Amino acid sequence: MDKALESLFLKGLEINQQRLFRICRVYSPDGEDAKDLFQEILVQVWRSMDAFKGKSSFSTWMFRIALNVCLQFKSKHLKRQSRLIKLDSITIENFCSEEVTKEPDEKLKHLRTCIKRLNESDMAIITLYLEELAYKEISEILGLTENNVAVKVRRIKSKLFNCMNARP
Amino acid sequence: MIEDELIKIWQSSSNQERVKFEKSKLMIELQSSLDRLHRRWKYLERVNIISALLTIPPFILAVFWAPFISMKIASALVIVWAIYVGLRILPIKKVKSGDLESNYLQYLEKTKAYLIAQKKLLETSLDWATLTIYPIYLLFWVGVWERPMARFIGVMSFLVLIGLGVFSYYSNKKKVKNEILPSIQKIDELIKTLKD
Repeated sequence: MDKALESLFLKGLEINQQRLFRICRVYSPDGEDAKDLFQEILVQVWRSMDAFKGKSSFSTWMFRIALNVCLQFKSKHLKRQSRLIKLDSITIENFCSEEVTKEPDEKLKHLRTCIKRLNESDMAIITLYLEELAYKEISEILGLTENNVAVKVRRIKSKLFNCMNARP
Repeated sequence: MIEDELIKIWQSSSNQERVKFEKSKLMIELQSSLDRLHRRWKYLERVNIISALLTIPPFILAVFWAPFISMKIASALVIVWAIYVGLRILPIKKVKSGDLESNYLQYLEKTKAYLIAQKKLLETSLDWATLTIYPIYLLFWVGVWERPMARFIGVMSFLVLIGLGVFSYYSNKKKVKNEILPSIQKIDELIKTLKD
C-alpha cells in the first residue's frame, strides 16, 4: 500500500487511539478482549484503506468501521478470525501511581457498567458522545439525522445519570 | 451529577491505562496479519474449488463409460444437479454481510438482508437440493437392479442418503431457529431503537 495511505492511517491512529481503545473497553468483558478488539479494528481499517474516498473525515470513517467491528465482535466467526491477528507492537500501559486515587477508578468502573447495560445502539451513541464528537459527526457515523442523535443523547444521558446516582 | 462529569469520568481511563504502539513494527505486523487472513481465505476457496473439481469429473467419465444407459443418464443429471446447487448457493455470497465502511444503520440493514437470504437458503434446501437427488440416485441403480448384490448395495446406500437428508434437514432447521432467527430479531430491535 502506498506511503500516503500509510501516513494517513498512522496519523488517524495517533489522534484516535485512546478514543478507540476506550470504546473497545466497553464492548469487551476485560482488558485482554479489549486489546483483541482494538487489534481487529486496526486490521479492518488498514484493510479498507484503499476504499477511503475522502467523502468524510478520516476519523469519522475510522469510527464507522470501529463500531461495525465492535458489533461483529461477539460473533464466533470474528473471534475465530481474531486468533489469526496478533499485533505484538500494541501494548496496554497501566498506571498505578499514587496520584490515581481509588475513587475515579470506581466511578469509571460504574460508568462502564451502566453503559454496558444499555442496548447496543444506545451504547454506540453515548460512547461517541462521551468522546466529544459533534452531533453532525455522530449522525454521519450512525446514519441518523442530527436531530435524532440529539434527542437520543438526551434520553441516554438521563438513563446514565439515574444509573450512576443509584449506585450504593 | 453534571454532564461534564460524565465525560470527565469516561476520559479519565487514559490516566489509568493507555494503548501504545510502535509505528514501524505495527505496519509490518498489520500487513503480515492481513496476508495471513488472505492466505486463509484463499485456502478455503481452493478447498471448495478442488471439492467441486473432484466430484464432477467421475460423473463425466461415467456418462461415457457406464455400462447401462440409466447410469449414463443419472450421471449426466448429477452433473446438472451439482451445477444447479452451486448456482443457488453462489448468489448468497454476493449478498454478503454489510461492508464495514457503511454507517451503522446501513451495516445493520445489510447484515439483516444477508441473514434473511441465509435463512431462506437453509429453509428451502430440502426442496431444491435434497429431494431432487433421490430420484437421480435411484435411476443410477435401475440398470443393475436384477443383481442381488448390487440391489442390496443400492438399497443400503439409498437409506444412508435418506438418513443424511433427514440429518441435514433438522440441522438446518436447528441453525435457523437457534442462530439465524435470534440474530435477525436482535438486529431488528437495534434498527427499531436507532430509528425511534
